[in-house]
Amino acid sequence: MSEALYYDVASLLIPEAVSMLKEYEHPRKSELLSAGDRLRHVVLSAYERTRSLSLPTEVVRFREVMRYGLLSLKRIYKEGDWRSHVFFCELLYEVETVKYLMDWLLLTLTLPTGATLLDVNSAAPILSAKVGARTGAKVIIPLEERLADVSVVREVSNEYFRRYGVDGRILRVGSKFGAEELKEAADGILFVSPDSWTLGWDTMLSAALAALRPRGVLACLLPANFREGWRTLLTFWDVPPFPEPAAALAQLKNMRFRECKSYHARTLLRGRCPEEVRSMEYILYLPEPVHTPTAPVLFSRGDPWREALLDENLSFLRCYTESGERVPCDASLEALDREDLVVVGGAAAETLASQLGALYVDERLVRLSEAFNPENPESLFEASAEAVSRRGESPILPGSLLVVLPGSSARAWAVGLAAQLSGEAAELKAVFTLTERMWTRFKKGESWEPFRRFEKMVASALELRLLER
Amino acid sequence: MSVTVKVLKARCPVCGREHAIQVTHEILREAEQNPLGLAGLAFPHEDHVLVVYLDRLGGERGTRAFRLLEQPVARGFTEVRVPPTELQGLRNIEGFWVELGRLGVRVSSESSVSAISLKARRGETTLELNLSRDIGYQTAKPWLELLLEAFDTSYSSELRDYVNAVKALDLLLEEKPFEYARQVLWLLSNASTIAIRLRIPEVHLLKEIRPSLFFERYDGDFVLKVLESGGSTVGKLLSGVLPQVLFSSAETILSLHRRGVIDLVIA
Repeated sequence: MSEALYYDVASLLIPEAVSMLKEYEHPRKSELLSAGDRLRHVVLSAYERTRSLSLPTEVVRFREVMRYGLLSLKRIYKEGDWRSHVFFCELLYEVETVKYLMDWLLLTLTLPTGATLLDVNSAAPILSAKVGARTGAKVIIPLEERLADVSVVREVSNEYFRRYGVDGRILRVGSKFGAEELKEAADGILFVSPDSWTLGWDTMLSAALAALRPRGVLACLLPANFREGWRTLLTFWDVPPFPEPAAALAQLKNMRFRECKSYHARTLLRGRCPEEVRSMEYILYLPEPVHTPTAPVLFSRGDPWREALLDENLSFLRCYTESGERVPCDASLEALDREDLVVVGGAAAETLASQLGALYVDERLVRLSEAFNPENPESLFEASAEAVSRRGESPILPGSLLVVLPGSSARAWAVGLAAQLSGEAAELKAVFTLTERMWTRFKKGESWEPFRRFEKMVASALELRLLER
Repeated sequence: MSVTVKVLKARCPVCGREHAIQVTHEILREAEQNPLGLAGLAFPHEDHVLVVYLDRLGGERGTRAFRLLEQPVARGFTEVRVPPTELQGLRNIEGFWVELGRLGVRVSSESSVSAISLKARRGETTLELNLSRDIGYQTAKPWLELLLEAFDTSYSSELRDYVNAVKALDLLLEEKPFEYARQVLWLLSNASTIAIRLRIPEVHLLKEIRPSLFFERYDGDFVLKVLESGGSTVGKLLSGVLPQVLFSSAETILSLHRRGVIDLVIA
């Protein structure tokens, strides 16, 4: 599919947008009315190009969302109703290209522990809420007066904080957003919302430079409105033109931003998903040390060795082939490309991933994946790839309930009850006791499928090797 | 935090009501600082007050009942009892009564023995909560004020709405006040008088695109149920007995309203 189709669809929406202008007072009405006249030939060409085409579903969805966005503008200016604007922002994040780019940002963003993250002018702060939920970062939403004065916008921010369990607050800035407004020392700053686009590229950069701590992260989702059609359509939202990606990247590199990563929707439209950017050749699995200290295991897809036991310094100890034979290996973790490496595990693995600059995936999400088979280590790759797209989601089995009650002896240090919820009813699935060292002894339900996923080691062969060690 | 040193039982010599008294270090400290070496704990009953005296070691040193100078005026409230099954699953509230002056109704649960009770009044509405644990007056105060405001301005004559709001309060007592807390209590205490009106473009887009917030962070089945319920009242949708389900349903409805997917109109 060609990206030109999106520009054509945007162009075709301009006459509708201009026609709707007659029903309400837009601050840039005369400019937009004249743009409608000026772009008549652009609209006609777009019409000629698309009239015999059957539009793909995702393009139709983009058109419907943008058409709804125009209705939301009318509701703001005519009725003072901002509810549709919030809904429009949320729908825009679900448009396929935007969704993939947001997922890519979510995968790429790494923040230190206890970080502060700014999500500028966000009427629906979904990305910062997801990042906050994943990393524990404190989220601040700086809002210009025009947004901060709207109770619905404040309520929605509050709703995201509550729903994602994030420590967050709104920061009211002046009527015109400027670098001097951000006095927060932030570890990350996001410009991903349509309302943040209204600031323009230069303001974004100066605000980021003013607010970010050294080694802070600037993350932007920029509209590719350097081409006509999309450019004029976004003018209805007061979005100025943005530079082309290459120019924006060059500008960033000339400033203090050293490690720049970019992903263009164009790549996506050519058939590559952001997840594929990370080829996931290696999985470093670090089990949580629940019972005893655990050793990291490195799985490889392409090397002659398939599993390697590492020591606490991440040096290779032993390597095994697919059939379980021991083979010499002189590999080192430093030599691996970080883009190819994914770290799977719990809290310790997340810290390790952060140190290595690699992608982290919660082991619980991996084990809950349909693709995961505890008997087959190979399934770890497929399940991790699937879990990557669900990062930030709850790692709790939906519709399940686990109750742990204090016990009264060393053998039954605690008692656990697990149930499957159905509406308001709960069906008891398992009863077990926990010893002081967190070993479980089942009274009922040992064979319940979710438990089997979590109780077993990734591979029985691997378990034997670990014991052998 | 108040740590219970011991628990005493005291019986009112006038009405025979029993109280379990949790003796805390604060009470002992109060007795120590009192010139007589005693601390008095007062329990208001209908037309009298029971006072239990404790010494500095936490021992009971007598009980006395005092008549109130101002007798409560008979206000002609119709008494309505809430069956105990209605209050299943509450974690903080053991019992309550509320006098709704506008309706001339006093709604109350079965009387319960509770050492901690909070009473508040606004306009024509009086509310008393019996709590199963000491959550602190400062924590409870903003929630009581919000609930009383919702009750005193409610147009509902359906008593279930008020009981449901008390159930939601049971959960809210464990939270800090948030931006739209007032709306949750308002929605629940007016539930049977508020109808849902669907906004068709938004309903179509929500069903088609399924934004992640609604289908990951709320109960997706309930979201779809609301979208099929054009014209029915909020009260009909809030059929759950458990406070968690009620609260979550109210939050979902408000969330849809916040996006303009539904309008809430007086039925």
